[in-house]
Amino acid sequence: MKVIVAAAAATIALASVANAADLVVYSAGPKPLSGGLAKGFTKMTGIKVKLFQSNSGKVMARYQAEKSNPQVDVIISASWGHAITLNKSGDLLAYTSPNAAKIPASLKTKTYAAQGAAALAIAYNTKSGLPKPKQWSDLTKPVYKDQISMPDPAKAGSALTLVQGLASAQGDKAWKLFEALAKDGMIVPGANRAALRPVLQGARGVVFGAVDYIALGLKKKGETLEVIHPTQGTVLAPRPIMIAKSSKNQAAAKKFVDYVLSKEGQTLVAKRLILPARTDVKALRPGWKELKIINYDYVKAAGEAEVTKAKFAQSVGK
Amino acid sequence: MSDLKIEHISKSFGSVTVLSDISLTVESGSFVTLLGPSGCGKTTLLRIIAGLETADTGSITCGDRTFVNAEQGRFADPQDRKLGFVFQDYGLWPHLTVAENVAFPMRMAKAPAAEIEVRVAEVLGVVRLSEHAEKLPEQLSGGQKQRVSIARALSGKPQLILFDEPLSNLDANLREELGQEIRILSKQFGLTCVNVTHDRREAQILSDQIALMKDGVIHQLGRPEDMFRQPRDVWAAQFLDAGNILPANRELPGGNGSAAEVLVPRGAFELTDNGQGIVVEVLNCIFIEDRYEVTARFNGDIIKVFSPRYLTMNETVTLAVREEDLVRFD
Amino acid sequence: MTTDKSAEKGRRLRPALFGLSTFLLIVIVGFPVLAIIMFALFPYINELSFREPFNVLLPNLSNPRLIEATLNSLSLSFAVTILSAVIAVPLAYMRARFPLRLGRIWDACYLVPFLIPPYIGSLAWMQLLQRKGFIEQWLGFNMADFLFSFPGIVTVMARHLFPLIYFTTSNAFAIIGSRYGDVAKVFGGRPVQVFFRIYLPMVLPALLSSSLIVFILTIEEFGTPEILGSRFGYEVIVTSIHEKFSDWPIDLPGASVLSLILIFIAFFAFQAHQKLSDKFQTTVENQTIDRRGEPLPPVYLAIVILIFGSIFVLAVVLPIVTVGIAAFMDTVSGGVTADNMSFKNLLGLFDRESEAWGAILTSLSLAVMAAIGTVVIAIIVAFTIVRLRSAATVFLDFLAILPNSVPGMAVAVGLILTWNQPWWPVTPYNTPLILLLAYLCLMLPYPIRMVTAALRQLPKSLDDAAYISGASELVVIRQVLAPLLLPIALAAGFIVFAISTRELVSSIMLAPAGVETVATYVFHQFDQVSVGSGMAMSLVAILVSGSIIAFGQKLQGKNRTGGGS
Repeated sequence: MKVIVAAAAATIALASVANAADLVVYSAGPKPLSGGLAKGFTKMTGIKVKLFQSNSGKVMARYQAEKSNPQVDVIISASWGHAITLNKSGDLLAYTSPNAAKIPASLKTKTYAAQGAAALAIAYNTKSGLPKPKQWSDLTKPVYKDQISMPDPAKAGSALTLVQGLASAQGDKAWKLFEALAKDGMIVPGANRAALRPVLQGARGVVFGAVDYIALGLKKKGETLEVIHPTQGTVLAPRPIMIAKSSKNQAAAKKFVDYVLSKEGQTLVAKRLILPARTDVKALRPGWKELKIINYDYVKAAGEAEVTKAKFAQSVGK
Repeated sequence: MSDLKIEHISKSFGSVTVLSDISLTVESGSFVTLLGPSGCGKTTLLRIIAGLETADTGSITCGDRTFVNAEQGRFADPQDRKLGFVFQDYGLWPHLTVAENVAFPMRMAKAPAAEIEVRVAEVLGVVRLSEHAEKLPEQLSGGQKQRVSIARALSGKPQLILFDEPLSNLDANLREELGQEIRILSKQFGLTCVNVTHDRREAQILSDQIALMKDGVIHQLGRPEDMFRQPRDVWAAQFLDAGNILPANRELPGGNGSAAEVLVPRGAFELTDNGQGIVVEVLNCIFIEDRYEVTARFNGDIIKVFSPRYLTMNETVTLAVREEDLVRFD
Repeated sequence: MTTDKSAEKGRRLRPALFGLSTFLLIVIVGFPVLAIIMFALFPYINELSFREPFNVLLPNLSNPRLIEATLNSLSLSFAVTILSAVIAVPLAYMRARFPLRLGRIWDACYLVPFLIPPYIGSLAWMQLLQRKGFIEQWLGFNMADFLFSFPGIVTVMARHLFPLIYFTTSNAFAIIGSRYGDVAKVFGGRPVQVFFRIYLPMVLPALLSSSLIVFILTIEEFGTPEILGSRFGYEVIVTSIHEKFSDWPIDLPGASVLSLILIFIAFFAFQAHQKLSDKFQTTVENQTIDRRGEPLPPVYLAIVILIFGSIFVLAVVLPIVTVGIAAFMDTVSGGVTADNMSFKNLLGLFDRESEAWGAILTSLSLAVMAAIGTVVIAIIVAFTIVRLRSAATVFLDFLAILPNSVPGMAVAVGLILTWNQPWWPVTPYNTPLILLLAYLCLMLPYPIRMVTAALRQLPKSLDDAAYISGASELVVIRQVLAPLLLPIALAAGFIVFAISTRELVSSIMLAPAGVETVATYVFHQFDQVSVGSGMAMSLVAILVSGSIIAFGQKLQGKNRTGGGS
């Protein structure tokens, strides 16, 4: 009995001896996308990819915890803010991929570029019997009382982006909007999935600030969701891909970035209903032409993030 | 078997002194009981002998083995002292059969299996529990459990057996019976035994010598009959229930007022009708064991006396006192 | 005069056992927790730099929301502990009076709440009780107001944690047996009085011990307060900690500072437990594990079964049925209608492409190793703490409870900080062994707590009798104590097994590339809001681990020493 346990332990241990030439990638979801990109890359270059896949917060936590003995080469996050933070502290390797040429200027810098972007939208359950909302401000109408669910900017970077964008575009009107929504019984139950779940289950009718590709994906699966991008304007939540300066595999890392930003990689991104960063790759959902994007100073907003979050919490009476 | 020598053993727990310079020799093959009220230190001394406690000063040797040498900081582990121990609550392992319990010490000594089997059968036969060998302790009565415990203590052929109030959990008949059995066994096998109890009857049944302990010292040491007949002081007399303690006065033989108190054993009185003796008033008369025990009043004290015949309440009788049975205390 | 070499050897065993216990606890538990504390004090320790010490402490500690969160954490923990005890103790008492066979079935049933991860349980209750939830669909009313409130959270968490108290105290009741109750009955004590005045005080050590662990687990639990509490703005320390990891920005040093608070609370809870335990020390003379109980008159038996049954339905059946239904729903929004139910989610698990099977196998083998490892370590450590008592063993006792006070996320960070250092010649980091190490760290408290409670009630004369018969400490542990501790050790092993199969947070953080556990698989499904698939996986995991435990209980029944009940 003891022998079996020991043997099992040894086998498991041996089975995962790391190969130094492998590329180590930490990526936020969705899992099929990062898995697909890793597979495609290996097929093309023969370089094996060790993929750690989770959500942005955990990816970054792992990176930070490993600082004294860094393991990672490429980091993909779902929050642009992480790129800003890492760049500020000098953690990123400067690299501009040739494939980044077709990426809009707002979505690339010397040290990081967007893999793709989610847009923030309204998602509503068609079975709820509610009228289809068109604009953010529609949701203050009495018919939507006790029906709204919104992700918490303190827990979801995408929701924070929306708040920052609306605040920069509409100023005080945006804060009044949040107050009104809160008065009408809007719940702020957590991160993205916590906000979406009650709408799916029928307990609420509408999500204010859903991550559009997730909602679109569910709609494709057969859920009774409708996704609306307000023509008043919405924000993008770009997903940065970065190379760690401490990477010991910089050549392979650069190749990986090239792959992700190549037509093949971007097609994979598009397949997940995420807006590809490259404008010359067809989006399988409302794209650059259809969306009205609110542009604002990402870096400045990042610096004021704590203030924004606190103000939001105050507005909704938390 | 060899002599157990205890020399100058002291022990304190924090600021409380439990044993104070105890010295005692238990000769090979003899049975000594440490008798005393609770708190007198007897159990602590037993545990020190067993190795379950350390001592602050002194030494204990058994034959040529040193159990304790406090000054040198040497305390042999219990498992190295080759002892037997009979616990008050039997200490039988509930998940082992009677035979397995008894075999344990020999298994620990790594005796060959065949030898163990023979010895276990032998020892179970001695305590007359052979047909219970495969039972679990919970299936036995208290007396049977204690016998298993004794068998276990014997099985390893120890040089010394320690008893911790072995009879107190048993009922009265059993106590007497098992007590006598233990004594017979100890003599039959020439065992050196130390017992601890607060029950003087148990001490009397089992022991060759009684060490009466009080407040951490040995108050008196001697054979049961000697202790009983010649207790050292009033306290000892009272603890041993040796008889009536009365203030010395002129009415008692030899009463010259110099002694403070006198021990008058129950059997020292004799009913007499010649008018020579003390006059007492009968308060109660009962028949117990095999004779009459009379409670009577004498000058304001209550005394207990044996009587050959029934005496009625409130009767006044004269009792002669045998002077040679008296013990005087100053 | 001879004092032989074997005496020397014997004297080396005790310090050796003490040393082994200390070594194990320090490496498994001490290092990660120390790393967290260091991180709280030195925010750049992850770069092995000591610069800017303490400058994260004040900003975090002076946050006003923190005070409210702390009070919430404390009140939640007290409430959950009390409710769990109120549920568990009468059940345990009744269990001790049960005829054998039925009793074992109930034991198995009450392990199931552990198999349902708290966040799955909370999701299930939401699905059941919220607006337009199952209950509203079937019966026309919802209990959303109750669920999304303090009493709601307390109830849901107690449902999950009461088995801990149940198992420890039912074992204690069995050891005490019926003698003392009989004495009371003769003197006119009615059953209720007997219970409160005789039995309850005697099981107090076991009760206190398991209550301590429930208290600390509640303080540390994330899933339920997050899912339910966020619906009515209820914050606890752990949710505040998780906010620091959740998306952006992250703040590891800040999270460590908040973890410090939890460590302090655990420390005080532990001290309180020590003081209370010392007051209520009871050992039982004439120890026999008396599981026979007495036959109950049929009316009482029926009532008892009714009570057991209703708790079982509430704690186990309802959540599992909900999970099951959700697992069969093709779409979430489709509702519970005939054409929305299919095997699609379940079948999807066995899809060639999915890693479900690999995840199940990994989880099972890790869980088994964790169960065996923690129980063996627990027996050694329990022996050191209870029998080799000293000032130093109190420290060990505290170490043993520590991991439970710190959120799994923080422990994971602590483990990374500890084992991902360049100076280790060999490290489990980035191998599946780091997961085993994490599980050992997180799970050790349960078996240690349960086994020490049981060991405290075994009289020392059993040990002494063995020593005098020539046994060494190791023999005493193996041949005298372990067999008598077998029932509680097995229960503890099963609990560790159950929890390991669903451990989420550390698994996510530490799993090396390509390694998935059941929980990480479920998590990834949920992250994509594929509720049905996640529920399907949870259902399979519950059934598989449940079957294994049931099988194990059956084996245990063949055990002779009355561990069979």
